Amino acid sequence: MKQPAGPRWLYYRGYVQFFSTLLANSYFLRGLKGFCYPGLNCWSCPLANFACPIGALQYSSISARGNLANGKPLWSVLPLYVLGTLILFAALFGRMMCGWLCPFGWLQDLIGRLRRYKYKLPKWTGYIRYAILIAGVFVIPYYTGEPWFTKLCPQGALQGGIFQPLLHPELRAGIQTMWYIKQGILLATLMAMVFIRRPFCVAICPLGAFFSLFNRWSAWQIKYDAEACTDCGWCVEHCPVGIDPRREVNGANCISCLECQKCPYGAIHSGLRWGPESTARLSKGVPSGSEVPS
Amino acid sequence: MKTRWWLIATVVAGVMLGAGFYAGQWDTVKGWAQVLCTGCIGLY
Repeated sequence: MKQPAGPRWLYYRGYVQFFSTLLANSYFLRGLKGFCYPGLNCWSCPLANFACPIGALQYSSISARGNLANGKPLWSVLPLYVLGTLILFAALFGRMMCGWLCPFGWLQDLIGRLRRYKYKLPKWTGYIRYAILIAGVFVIPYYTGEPWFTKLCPQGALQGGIFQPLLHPELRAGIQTMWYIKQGILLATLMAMVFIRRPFCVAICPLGAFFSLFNRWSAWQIKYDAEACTDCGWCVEHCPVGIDPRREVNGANCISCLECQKCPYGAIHSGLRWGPESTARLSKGVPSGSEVPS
Repeated sequence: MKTRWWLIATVVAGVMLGAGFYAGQWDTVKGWAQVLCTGCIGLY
């Protein structure tokens, strides 16, 4: 039986996810609600401290239409602040927020533990999330004036849709068909988490889609050492999104959770691009510690 | 020399963030976040 290895800090990911969820929902930092949290966390949760970037982008699209109609210049209606925040995180860390900070990602990891053997979504499903990002977050809200992703978002159904009506009787009185549809989507998503590896991250999440655009060339990179790899398949078996880290690290579907870095043979490393073991060096199959041939 | 896309993106993001902040978008987002989002809780 191969034992996982790697640096000690990798084993604290669950704690980081827990504290990230706590930070985003600890109530006492609500003065920071203008800050967009780099993870899927509903701003309508009674305890939420920060803004949901996907919600903010949708409302930006909705308000942009009205502002453009009123003659405001294009540059003034662009969501520079929200996009700037997201690009900043993505340029530095790629999709690492999905693997380490996102509360909904943590929920998927926790529920995923209920069943060891899980299905893997086909690769083409990864393109759905880009369609959701473009259509559900930008185009449809712009033309309909409704935040359609938000209306169907399972994280909103969980954090806002359950707790707010529980706390406020007047909201309970207003529950209609849409609430049941939304809770049905949440239930289906929760069920999928049991049988499929991180289904929401792979196929649905528009925030993950945005971050994945930067994964290939972000400052933080995962490095695969072909020379040290024995092709044992340990990393493939343990990857929470079901990719083959030997071929797809830093790819669009990789959430940079660094589970593969626990490789028993030390074939996978991660770090900043300017670190001692550069991506180029390792992709040539040069073992760490030896000189790069000229 | 290889293009450092992450650095270019970081600088661009910083400029966007600063410009958006200067234009008062922090307060706009805060305003949206503080109003109870009925779509988020599924009431319409």
